[in-house]
Amino acid sequence: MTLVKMNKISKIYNKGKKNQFKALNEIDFSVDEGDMIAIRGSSGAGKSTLLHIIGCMDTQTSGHYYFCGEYVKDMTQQQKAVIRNKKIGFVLQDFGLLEYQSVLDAVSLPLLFSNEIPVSKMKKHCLEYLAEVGLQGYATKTVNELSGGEKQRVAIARALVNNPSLILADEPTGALDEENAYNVMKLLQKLNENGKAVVIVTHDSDIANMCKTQITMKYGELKSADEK
Amino acid sequence: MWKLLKESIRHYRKLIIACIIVTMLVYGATQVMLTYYYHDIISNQDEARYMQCEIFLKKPIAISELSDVEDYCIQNIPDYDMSAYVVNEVDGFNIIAVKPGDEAKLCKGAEALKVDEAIVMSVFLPILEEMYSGYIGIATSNVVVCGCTPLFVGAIVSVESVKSEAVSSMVISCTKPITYSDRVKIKKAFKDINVDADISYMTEFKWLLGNVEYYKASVILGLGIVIFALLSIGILVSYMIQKQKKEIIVFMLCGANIRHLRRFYIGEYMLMQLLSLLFGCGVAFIMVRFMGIFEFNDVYVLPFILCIIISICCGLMEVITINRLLKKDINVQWRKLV
Repeated sequence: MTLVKMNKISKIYNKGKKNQFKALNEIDFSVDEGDMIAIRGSSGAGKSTLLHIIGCMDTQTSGHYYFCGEYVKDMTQQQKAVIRNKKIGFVLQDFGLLEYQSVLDAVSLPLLFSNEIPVSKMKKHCLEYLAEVGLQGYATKTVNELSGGEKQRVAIARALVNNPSLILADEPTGALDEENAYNVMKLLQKLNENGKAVVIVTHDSDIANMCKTQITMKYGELKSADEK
Repeated sequence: MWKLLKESIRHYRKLIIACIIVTMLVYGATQVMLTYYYHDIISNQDEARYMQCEIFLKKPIAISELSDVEDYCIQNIPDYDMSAYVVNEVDGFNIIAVKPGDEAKLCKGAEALKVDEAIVMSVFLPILEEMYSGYIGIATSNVVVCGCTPLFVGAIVSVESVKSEAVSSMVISCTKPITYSDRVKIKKAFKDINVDADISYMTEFKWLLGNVEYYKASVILGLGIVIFALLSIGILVSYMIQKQKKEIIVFMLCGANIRHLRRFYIGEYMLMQLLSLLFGCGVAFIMVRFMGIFEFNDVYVLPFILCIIISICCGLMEVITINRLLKKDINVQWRKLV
């Protein structure tokens, strides 16, 4: 099943102004179930912009974007929020965690907004995902007590807690040392093997090589797609 | 809703505590200031710290009937003295007691001023009795006259001739504050003897110091409340705009929509406001009732009500602000935040 389908997507910042900037130029892109795609490119190539549009955090200036067959531009903010909550998991370079929260609270945050799991079962549910990322026994620790690698694993557990079909990772290893970066990538690979589609934005060729497909972006355009 | 609220209490406990402390400090400071301000002025007149209620009879009653009323009130409202008088203000002086039917003159220095239809049944301020013992002396009938300025610099009223036979207003005074149940008793007493009257309750301060001082005090307290409100808005807006951005991003990444954020932040804010208000009022009430720092009477009721009204208004205003900020953040600046 095709999760993401984009046709001639363009994104222009400050349109009509002196500082107008075209971040994406008529991009065609798609993600199917089970894909693991690395998007590579230099700074300003439009990688993050593309990821934000895929994640319904930003809207394209022109072109058509369908998520699971639904036309995203016609969706309300509420509908987009539901997609972000249930269909997509985000993993960010700076982890996107609130330092004051406990690990358990951080992981259960998406559940608070989905209302699908009763409070009494939330803890058990979250602990299962913490175990999946190898953080058993970390539930009561606060986020600021964790190392970078552990924080990223918490972020991954949070991304998974609503069982999304797509994981979007924006430089997930950018703030980690080599060993932790490798561990995080192995974890993402494992998720992919379990059926999740993963899209990773990265500068690192080693990280990109661990993905099934690599796409290079330059000046807002897709230049090449190499499949393993 | 409850989950979010619980979460917000847990997250922002420090802020909540800070708000409570600020409220307590501001409210407490203004109350102490108010108390100090009054006590400074009336420190020499402690004996005169009465609570009184002024009764305006809709239809004047004869002097002969007054004793019935007086007797009834004495029987039914223990601890109270009742006096009948007419207050006339002449040249800034309050004539508070004159002999029934007499025509009185107020003397300010050597100058005598004429007062119309002043009636007196008794003298009700012991301090005046003491001050003017030579003139007033007895606190019952057929006596005298005195006058006072708001600061008791003194004035002497002399009696010349009788003019009136009826009583149109009277005062019930007491050495303890008139409570709500007392008010009910007083009202019932007049109803029982079939006397139609408007009853107005005065504070000791209003009576002794005059309206000017009362309003000054209200202004001081009002200022304190405004400072609290501004602080509260300042804390909230800076917190919302400057420090919550990352939080909003994280919540939205996790699937929060504008309704969730509204509930989360507005609920949290309303809760903080409510807690602050309850705590502020609670502390002030404890100070009043159990610590005896000052007496609880109308002077303090008004600021309490003011505080609540201002707080509710601020709360509503801030809810609108938060709502607009959230909308702006999400719909316009969302990308910039990310």
